Amino acid sequence: MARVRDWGRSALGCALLAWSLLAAISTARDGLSREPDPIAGLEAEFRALVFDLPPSGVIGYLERHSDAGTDDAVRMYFAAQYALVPRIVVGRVGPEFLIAARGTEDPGGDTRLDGYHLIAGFPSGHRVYRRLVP
Amino acid sequence: MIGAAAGFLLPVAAVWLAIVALRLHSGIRSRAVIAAVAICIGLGVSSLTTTWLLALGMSIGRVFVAIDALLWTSIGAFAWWYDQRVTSGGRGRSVVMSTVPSRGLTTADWLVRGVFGIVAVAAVVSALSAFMAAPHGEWDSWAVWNQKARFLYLGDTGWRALFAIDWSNPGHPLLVPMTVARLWAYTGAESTIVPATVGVVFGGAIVSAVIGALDTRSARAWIAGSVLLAAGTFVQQVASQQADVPFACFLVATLIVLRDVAMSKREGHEGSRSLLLAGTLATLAAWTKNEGLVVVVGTASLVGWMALRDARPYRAAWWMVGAAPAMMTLVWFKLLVAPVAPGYLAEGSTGGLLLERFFGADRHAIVGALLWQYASAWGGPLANGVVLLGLVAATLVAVTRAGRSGRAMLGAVGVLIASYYVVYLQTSMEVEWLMMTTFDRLMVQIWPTLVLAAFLTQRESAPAAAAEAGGR
Repeated sequence: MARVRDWGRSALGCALLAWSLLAAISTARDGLSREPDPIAGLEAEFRALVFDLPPSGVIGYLERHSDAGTDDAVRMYFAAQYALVPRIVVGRVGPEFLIAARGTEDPGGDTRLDGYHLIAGFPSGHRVYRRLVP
Repeated sequence: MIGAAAGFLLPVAAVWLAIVALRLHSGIRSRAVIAAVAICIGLGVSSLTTTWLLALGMSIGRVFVAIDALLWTSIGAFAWWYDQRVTSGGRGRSVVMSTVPSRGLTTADWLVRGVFGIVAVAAVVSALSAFMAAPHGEWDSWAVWNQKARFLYLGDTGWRALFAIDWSNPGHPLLVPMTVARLWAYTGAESTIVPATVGVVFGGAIVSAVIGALDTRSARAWIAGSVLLAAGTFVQQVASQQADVPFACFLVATLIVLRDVAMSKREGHEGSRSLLLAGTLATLAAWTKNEGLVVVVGTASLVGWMALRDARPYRAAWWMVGAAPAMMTLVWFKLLVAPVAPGYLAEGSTGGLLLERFFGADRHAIVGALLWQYASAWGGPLANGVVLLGLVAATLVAVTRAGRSGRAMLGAVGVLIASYYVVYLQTSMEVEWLMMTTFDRLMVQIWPTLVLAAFLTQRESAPAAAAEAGGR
């Protein structure tokens, strides 16, 4: 009986090891074919804005004129917050400095930008505005 | 990166030396477990000291690095000096570990260790490829944890600005961001390698703790290590730069230390001092994630019951001494610095609504169905449903006579699952979305403990008992 039990334990151990090996190799293979995450690119794009922004304080962020709640729009806003720390990026118009990320402005003329003037544009399509009257 | 390595090693080495000097490892049976405990407490307590220095008005810069390095070097040097003095004074080392003459390894032993080695290499490749594809980690890593670390590191004395971004859960405990910010200070830049390495170090500590708890000389320990790393979801989280892997490490290390203390008592050793480590680990779990409060309450109750049962109240005192630093920091943080309820419980929590959610069948039906759906899919390639299999295996072990220790581990897993369930029932967020975005990570928290429970039988006490008998 003890022999059968030992044999059973050994068989179970071998099965678990074989399964672990296959599962671990499958995970590694899947990992190697993983698509790059877009955040690294977005972070670098927004980092380029720091020279035109104050070193700290509240910075406005223009929400997308349409589809503001999509994953893409939210990711871009959060990436701006992440990249521009220790500045506090808030999703509203009003602060002295305002970021209009790529695709956020209404192409037909955006009234939310009234009172702001463009101080910098970037190849990524992002723009920095500053309010005319503080 | 040499700076970051120093930032890792200084507190870990100092804590290891302090554990040995103060004989806090008297109840712990394996050096692999002590190594894991030293990593957890070294990184955890250094995050506390960083918090205290920031609270005193210091910023995380060069002066901070000098003070931090001096602090940990001094602690390590003092612990080493004290250990030498005590040892030469004739008090010797009275620990459970020691001296079973190790038998030679058979071909089967080498084979098991070899397979574990390949699985571990595959896990490292997975973690590395995840880092290459997403160097800033998963969504919550950069949007919550690393963002906070950046405020702490770059914010100078204005680091409290991190609480201004309300959707990023300002009330979340700070162990992980504080650790990352501290190591960035040692590196001199906010490199993404640092938070990734923090995850890998905690992941390695988990593997070390599980294998050590099952006795590194036994084949089943290495099989358990392989099973642990076979779950792709777990390995991906190791590289994801979030707080769930560190939390899992604190949880499993706390339970292992408690088990070892209970076993050392059964075998006639006095391992009460190790309860100090259990108290520190449990409260550091709460300093890592809010779920840790369940670990604190659960382990405090267990230690209190053990102290009452044995009529030895000082046992609970050891636990409380260990728990005090992180607990006081957490209370200060939660009450004074960031008195904000977690986003998933924040709104609309009237008594009537809570009761309706708790007793309403609809909500149970939704949460139950989703739990089954996500649990069946958890695990990654060729491992789907492994968490359910783990639960079944741990339950089968727990109901046997030899499954006494596994029963306690399974009980802890059960309490945590019940707490997740209650939060899912009571959340003011859309429950489908909350479960979709959190379930995988929550299972990562319990996976190492579940694997340990499934492999843990009373047989692990045999070598130590043999050592004791052989030593006499």
